[in-house]
Amino acid sequence: MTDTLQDRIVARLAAHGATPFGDQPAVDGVLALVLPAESVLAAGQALKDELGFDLLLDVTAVDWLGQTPRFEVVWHFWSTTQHLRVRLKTRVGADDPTVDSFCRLYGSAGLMERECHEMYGIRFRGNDDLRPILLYEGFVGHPLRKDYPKGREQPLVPYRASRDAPAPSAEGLPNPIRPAFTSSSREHTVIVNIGPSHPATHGTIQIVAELDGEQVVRTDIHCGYLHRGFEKECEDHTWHNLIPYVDRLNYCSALINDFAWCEAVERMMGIEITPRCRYLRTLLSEYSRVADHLTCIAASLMELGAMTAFLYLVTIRDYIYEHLADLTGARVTYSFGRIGGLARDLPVGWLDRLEVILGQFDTFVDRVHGLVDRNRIFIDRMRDVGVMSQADAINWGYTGPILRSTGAPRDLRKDAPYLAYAELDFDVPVGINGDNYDRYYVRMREMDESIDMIRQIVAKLPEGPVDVDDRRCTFPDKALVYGEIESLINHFKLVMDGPVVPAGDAYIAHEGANGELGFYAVSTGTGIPYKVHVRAPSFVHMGGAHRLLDGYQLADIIPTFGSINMIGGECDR
Amino acid sequence: MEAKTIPIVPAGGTKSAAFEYLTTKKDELVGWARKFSLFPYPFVTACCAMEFMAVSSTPYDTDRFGAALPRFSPRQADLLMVVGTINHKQAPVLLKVYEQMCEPKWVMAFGACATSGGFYQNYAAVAGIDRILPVDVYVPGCPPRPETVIDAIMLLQDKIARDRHPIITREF
Repeated sequence: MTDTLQDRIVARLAAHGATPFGDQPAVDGVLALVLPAESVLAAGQALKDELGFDLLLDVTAVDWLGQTPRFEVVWHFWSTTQHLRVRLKTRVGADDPTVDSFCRLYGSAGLMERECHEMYGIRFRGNDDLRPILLYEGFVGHPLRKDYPKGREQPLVPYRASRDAPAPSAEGLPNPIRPAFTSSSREHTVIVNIGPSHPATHGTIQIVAELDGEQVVRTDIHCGYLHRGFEKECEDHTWHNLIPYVDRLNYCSALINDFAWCEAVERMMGIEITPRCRYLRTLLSEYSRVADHLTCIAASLMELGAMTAFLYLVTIRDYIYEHLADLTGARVTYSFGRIGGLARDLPVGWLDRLEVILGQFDTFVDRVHGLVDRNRIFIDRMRDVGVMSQADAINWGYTGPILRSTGAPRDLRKDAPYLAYAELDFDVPVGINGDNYDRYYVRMREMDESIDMIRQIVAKLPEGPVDVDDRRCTFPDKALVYGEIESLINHFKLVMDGPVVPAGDAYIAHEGANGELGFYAVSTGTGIPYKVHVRAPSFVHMGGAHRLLDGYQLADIIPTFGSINMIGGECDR
Repeated sequence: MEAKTIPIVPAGGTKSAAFEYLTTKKDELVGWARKFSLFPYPFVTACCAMEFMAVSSTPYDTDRFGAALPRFSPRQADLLMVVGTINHKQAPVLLKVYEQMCEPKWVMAFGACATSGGFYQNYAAVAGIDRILPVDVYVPGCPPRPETVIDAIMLLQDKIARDRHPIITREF
């Protein structure tokens, strides 16, 4: 069936000059097409209206410095009904890097095009709002272009001359952002700035809000306060060395990032991981998801004043952290995935302690259910606040618990099963209204499903090695490194040059705790990635976040924003 | 040698025997008071926030060190905890918060990024907040374990106890 669908897409888009990219099918199973720049918009229209590709996942570019045309703009689409991805590519020259904008077709395009514009200097015809989003006003140049030196800083605050010098004055420092509006749209309104260092928003975010009394008229959301150049660092480290960096994208559930990244590299290298590794990765992903949801719910509840619930949830989260530290050596950022396997197998007794923690989890979470589920204050603050319809959510590129809270049972673990999910029995909890309460409840139910999955995995965990036996990526045994020359050289090459990944590109997505976490990696056949782009759910969610805030009360911004669970590391990268 | 109790009898003998005066140094007294009344302002940006949450909640409980209650107004805080990476976009905001805090104030660089930029040595990140602010205590780790944070709080308390605390003029 999929073949005919793919043929249909190829045939339909051929009318717009699109040709399949390469003669082999893509390693990631995505239907990749190349087309001329002028027919991009028409092809997008056909994809959306006629072929059912309703979700624009990602917009990015690749800088092929030295080639003409220099820039390759890349779009990824997903069909929520047919469960297929399409990748469109086009080339534009350096003298006029302009393509048509998709923001008339997809709400989510606007923010992603802003990012692409500031990072690569691609202009999007039809997108009037190309202000910086991750960078700041006054930043000169485009940092992800290959000719921008990695270390060229453009500080807004002058550095102190020495360790003993006083702090510079904050007087007269430039404003890093340019708000979308500075004057009232109607009488009696005021414009209020919230953040980026605000006690009640977790994550550094700045919201410029126009208020009519207590009511929010419109908002302008700025992220980028945690932009730390992840994608630039990627072009300077080997495929292996990036594992600690991907940990720090969504630091609430670092292991999911690890495994998504490792799978992207493994697919490009054509590596099949061992069954035990597959199950362990699934187990640890679900364990991470629990920790992530615990953090999100705990922080949101604390912001509503439910301190007891916060302390309960953080306590159980701390047990999980210590338990993961027994396995990986770190509490938050684990660096545990390896290309072709895991850093090590489970220590003795780890699964016994896991069972104890799962029991404690039930106790603590039951108490939280009892405290808040039917609590009048909680319901009044959460019910019918921050409502989003299913169609809106898809249009704005929402995935994960937020999309599911609107009633769409869209979950990559079911729709495009990876790791061991096809062999597990689990439900996809969905909400009804798409309001704050549904988002809270979907997360609570997802944790239950995760715990259930963990128990299933423990019951059928296969024996065997965790690392593949492949000298291209797996490090040789330490004893052999010291004992024989082949292993020594093998180790040296893997550390110094990195694993050699065949030229090509791949988009691999896992269901992260916040939604679809995708890695788009481009290799030129060396040990260092040519380009890595992260399709970060939190970032895409920021594009439509104003829809959840506008029209409600000022105080509702806090629980609504908490329920979006924007994670700075992955949003701003 | 035989121990001998010296009774402290107030002049006039009107009150029961008890200490009414003690002598100490002004700096030691003020330092002792200040070190147990740290009010932190958490400037929380990144991954270290996860450990900040852990360190201030039940299992680790910084309350025990007189350093718990986060004040979310810089005007009411005397310890600026910079928890996480500071990038160039954030730097003016951090400086503004620092400037709004009243003296005396102390700064803690929480984690590798705040200390030195960590492994983000590129166009975006500030390579350590001490490029723009004076820092009193650096906490290593990416992110630091809660024990490390508690150790840092105790180090800072020692530093405050040993410091000079001018309260009226520069000399006194």
